[in-house]
Amino acid sequence: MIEVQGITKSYGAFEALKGISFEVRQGEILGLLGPNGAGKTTLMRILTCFLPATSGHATVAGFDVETQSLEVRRRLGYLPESVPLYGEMRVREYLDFVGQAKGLSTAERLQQATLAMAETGTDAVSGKLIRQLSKGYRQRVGLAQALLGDPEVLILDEPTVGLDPRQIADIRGLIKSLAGRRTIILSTHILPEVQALCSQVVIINQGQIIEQDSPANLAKKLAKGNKVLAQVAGPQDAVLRMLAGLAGAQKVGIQEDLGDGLVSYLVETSKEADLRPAIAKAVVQQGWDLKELRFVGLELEDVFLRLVTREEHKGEGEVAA
Amino acid sequence: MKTNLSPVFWREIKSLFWSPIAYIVLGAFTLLCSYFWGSIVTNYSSYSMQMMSRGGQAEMKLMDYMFAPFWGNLLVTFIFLLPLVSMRAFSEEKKSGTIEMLFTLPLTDLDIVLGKYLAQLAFAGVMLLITLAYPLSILGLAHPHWATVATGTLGLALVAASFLALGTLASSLSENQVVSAALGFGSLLLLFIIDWVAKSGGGLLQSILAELSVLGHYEPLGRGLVNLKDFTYFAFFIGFCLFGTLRVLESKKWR
Repeated sequence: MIEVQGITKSYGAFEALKGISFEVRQGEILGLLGPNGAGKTTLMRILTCFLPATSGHATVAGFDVETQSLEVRRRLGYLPESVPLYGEMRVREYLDFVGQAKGLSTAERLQQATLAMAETGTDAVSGKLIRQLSKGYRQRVGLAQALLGDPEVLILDEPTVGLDPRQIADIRGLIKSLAGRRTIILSTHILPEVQALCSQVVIINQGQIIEQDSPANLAKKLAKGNKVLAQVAGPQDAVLRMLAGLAGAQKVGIQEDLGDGLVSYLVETSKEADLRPAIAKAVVQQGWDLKELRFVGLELEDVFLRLVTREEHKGEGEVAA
Repeated sequence: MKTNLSPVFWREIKSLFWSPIAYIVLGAFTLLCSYFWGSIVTNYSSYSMQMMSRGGQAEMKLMDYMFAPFWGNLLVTFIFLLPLVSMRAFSEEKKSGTIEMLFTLPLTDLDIVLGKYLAQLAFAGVMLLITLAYPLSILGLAHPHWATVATGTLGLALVAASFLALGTLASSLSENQVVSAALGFGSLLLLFIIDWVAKSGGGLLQSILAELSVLGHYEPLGRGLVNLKDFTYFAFFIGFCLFGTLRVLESKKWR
């Protein structure tokens, strides 16, 4: 549905994008992840035909963003980062303008605007001037206009920024419900958002893709080993000795002393080994109490930090060399 | 290619009339029109009375003594007022960032430029309707030559259209409305100076400048003379400015 091949973008001497390539299949949600200034917005502006790429190609719904810009824009709903809306217009009036620009008939506009306002929860403010709306409502109006014309592709630049937790949950729910019918690219620097929504993640830093995979695989790829957390009530020394004695245990430590003899232990193992059955058996044999036993996965946040910092270290190394 | 001007046109009209600028411009224009007309009528009546008392020819031509100076004064007010109408066109969109939304909608650049320009023309149309009220006010007292009133008003319309096209171009160059207005105002003033220089003598430079002068092409219409040459000039002037606007918008994207 969306293909990006070797896109670069230079602003004078500054290279904002240094050869980005990826593909999004129909119905997928792709998360563009990266720190501020990584080039996410520039990439989205290229895909929405607002900016031309310096080199490389991109197609959206089979149309080239440069040579068939109008066809691309007909199939696109876009929510820009700062949600620039005409403050002097009323919400319904604004949606009507966007619907008209997207070539909808009067009946279609009425029907789709009503639906979009219901989906984004903006029907209560339909008669208000946009400039009087709160940040959260503006964001939703921005999303509502992107949905008009039933576009195949949605490009959302930081769709939940500036919203309160409940609005964030609402908007995420909405985006999730839109997937399948539509192909979505969203950018964010909030990691739980990617984990909650996306089937694919592309991590960008300093204009380059540094990792690209599903959120689950990404976490797995970076985890050097597995960690098992076990909460056991028993004599500390004996428990530690038992855990260290298990086949496959590489490092044993105490994560937290919870009091009353209850302690959280952390056991690091090799990637393949699953020590949970062995731990459970040993604890029961000794007559201790097992309160909790689970894998501690590497959260995407750690992955993200690890990737970005790794890249930065590499950069420093190059400078030093 | 199918054009889709109307969404931008109507949005622009609404936004123009939503802003206080529209009312300030219309108010100031009406006030100035009334002042000019009032003083011209007073002068005309006292002058024609003097002529009669001296036993001279009582009939002074309405066109020469009333309409020509009236319209001439209005052209000067256009220099000050019209850049205020066109300054918003692109500057405001750039400043507020809405240009990103506008240019990612499935509209061509031409749809956007023409939609905005036509909305300004509609606004100028309201101003011209106001100017027509004054010739109508002497209905029954005198007999103006209506065909000349028509060509003169058409001339005013063409000058206004040219000024607005230039103002639109100025607006595409800056994201600051004050800069856009100053740019428009400055270049319009330059066009008037061209006319003064053109009338200063009969050399080659003067005759070239006379061909370039907006006023020079307005004057025949003000006197009721309709030349294809003058229409061609205004068409070129407007076309050049709007084409320039399109190119500026395009080049901004390539940065």
